[in-house]
Amino acid sequence: MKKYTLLTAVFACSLISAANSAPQAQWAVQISNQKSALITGKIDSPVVNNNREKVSYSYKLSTGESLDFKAKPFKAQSRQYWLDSTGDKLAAGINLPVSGGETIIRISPLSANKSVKLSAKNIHIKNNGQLKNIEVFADSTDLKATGAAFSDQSIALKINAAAGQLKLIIDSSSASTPFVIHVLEKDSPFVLSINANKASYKVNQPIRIDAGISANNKNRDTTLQGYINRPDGSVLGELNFSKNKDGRYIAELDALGAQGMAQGLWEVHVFAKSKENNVVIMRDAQTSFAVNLNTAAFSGKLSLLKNTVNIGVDVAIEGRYEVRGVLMGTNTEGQLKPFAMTMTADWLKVGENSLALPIDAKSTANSGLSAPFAIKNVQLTNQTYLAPVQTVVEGIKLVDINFSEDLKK
Amino acid sequence: MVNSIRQGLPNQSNYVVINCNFEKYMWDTAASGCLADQLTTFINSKGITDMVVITHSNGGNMMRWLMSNPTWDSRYPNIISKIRWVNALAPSSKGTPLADAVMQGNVFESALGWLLGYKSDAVRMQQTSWMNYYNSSWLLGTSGRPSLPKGFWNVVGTDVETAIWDGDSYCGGYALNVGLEVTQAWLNSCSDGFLECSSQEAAGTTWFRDTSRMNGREPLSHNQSRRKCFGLDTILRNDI
Repeated sequence: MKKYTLLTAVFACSLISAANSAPQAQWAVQISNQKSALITGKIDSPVVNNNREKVSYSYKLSTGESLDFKAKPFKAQSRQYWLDSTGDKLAAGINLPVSGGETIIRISPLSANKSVKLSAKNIHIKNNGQLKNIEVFADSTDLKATGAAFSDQSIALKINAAAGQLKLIIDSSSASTPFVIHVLEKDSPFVLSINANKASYKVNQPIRIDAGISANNKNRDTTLQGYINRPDGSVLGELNFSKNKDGRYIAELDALGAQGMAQGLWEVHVFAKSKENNVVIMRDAQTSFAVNLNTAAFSGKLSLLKNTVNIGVDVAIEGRYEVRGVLMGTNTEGQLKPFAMTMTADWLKVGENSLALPIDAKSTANSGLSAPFAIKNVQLTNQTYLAPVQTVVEGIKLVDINFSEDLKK
Repeated sequence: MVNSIRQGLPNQSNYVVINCNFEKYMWDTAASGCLADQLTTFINSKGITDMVVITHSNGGNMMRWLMSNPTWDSRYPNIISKIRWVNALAPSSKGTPLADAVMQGNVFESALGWLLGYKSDAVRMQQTSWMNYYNSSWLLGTSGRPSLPKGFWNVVGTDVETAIWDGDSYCGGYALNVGLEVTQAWLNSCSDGFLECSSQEAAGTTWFRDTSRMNGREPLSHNQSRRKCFGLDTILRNDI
């Protein structure tokens, strides 16, 4: 009886509290003022969206959707490498180290001269001194028929190699023509893996690259070179790797340089060498990531109106900005579940602005979910330069709101 | 293929074949901007209220871009509102290691290759690490990400038949044997010769894998999944 009375009392208090509080929106984490860190100069990247109309959109999500807001970096794995050469070097023969087994060699003359044509009869391969049969020879027509965008004069061949050296000789190729030789060792146990520690970085944040060749789950001594390039192709810097206690290799560079991503992503290129019984193992790999473009930032200001959450945005460079998030509510087990996706974009001028995120009262009321409500994974993007600006995974808490009542007012 | 599928429409003239530059990045005005132009013109001129979109390969990414970024362009919400669903034939939702193979190379090949016009933005975009980023940010519908506003149904090619005695291997008019012997070295055992099944199934929902629905349980190679092969056209016709 006592226990029952106490529960009743707590319930009554919370009702009074709700009745006395106006619904409000609050950031779930502190939003620090980033005005001073914003870029104010010119962005030297192509503009891809100059639309000025305000566009808002929201749609229902199933409450059963399992969402993971943490973007995972890509782990690139490679059993292949590339070498530059020229017609005269290939006429004399170049050495290609191989670890043995089925080997694909792709040969690409980089010439607009269509007369540079390769055929099986003018390609000779020796494996540790022994002439090898070419098992399969595919010309560019064969390769393109598969749907892959191989170049017009690219050919590929397959051989079964013993570990050691392949000597590749090409007769009568034009001496000055540059070539790229691409070697894939499909079934080799020697794998170069590389990954950045994040899929997306803040400006000036250290980019940490993990790399190394392993075989049969054992890390191997590896010599590594590499660099990072920005979307416009400019080199951010070279990667200087050092070995850690696990036998992997780590390099760091700071994410410097403000660029949009209309020309593509930031890329990591790594070139690796190892050795097994005096046989050289060569591998190249590439992965990519994004860097925020801090042309704007959440100001920290929020207001909850009838069916919108107004999100304050400080803008340093005018452009088209979007804010989006996932609306979530609480189920009967007390778990936060998604029920709608909401987003809005508008052209914002320099200074203090806000973007009004729509909340569809009907889908909210029909979700079967109740308070506490929240907007998770709130993302600000610059659509003009196609760039992420700021993400707050923890998002916004919607406090003391009863969607079925408050949003009807 | 198109003429066969449109027989399923109550009014067989209510169709449009989109002709845009899908060699460009998905956000490019020549790609998704042009797509929005042509769909809007189609919707307005024909009074379309209910539309099924059929895509092949990277076309799936173009439609995902439009449905994932409704605020990009004021025409997008209206287009999305008219879509019943998207039937994505062999969509390259996670990219392909073959894009990595032709794009990665080294600086030398990349630079000269671009100058010589060997590669397109679309191939660059379909590198596996690039699609990993886009799927985690600008595109919706993959595992762990919010679903798309409309259904995205995958038809998945799982294998390539290249038996010389099997006439079915030649549907589509391509003798693929030789090229595939090489390109399959970059792919795992479940692939249509260009895309791994895991890429084709990465976004939306798998409608069916080829061998479960094609005549004679034939697989669909990447070239065959955009052609009138093994009854695919009839299945699509019956779905509109």
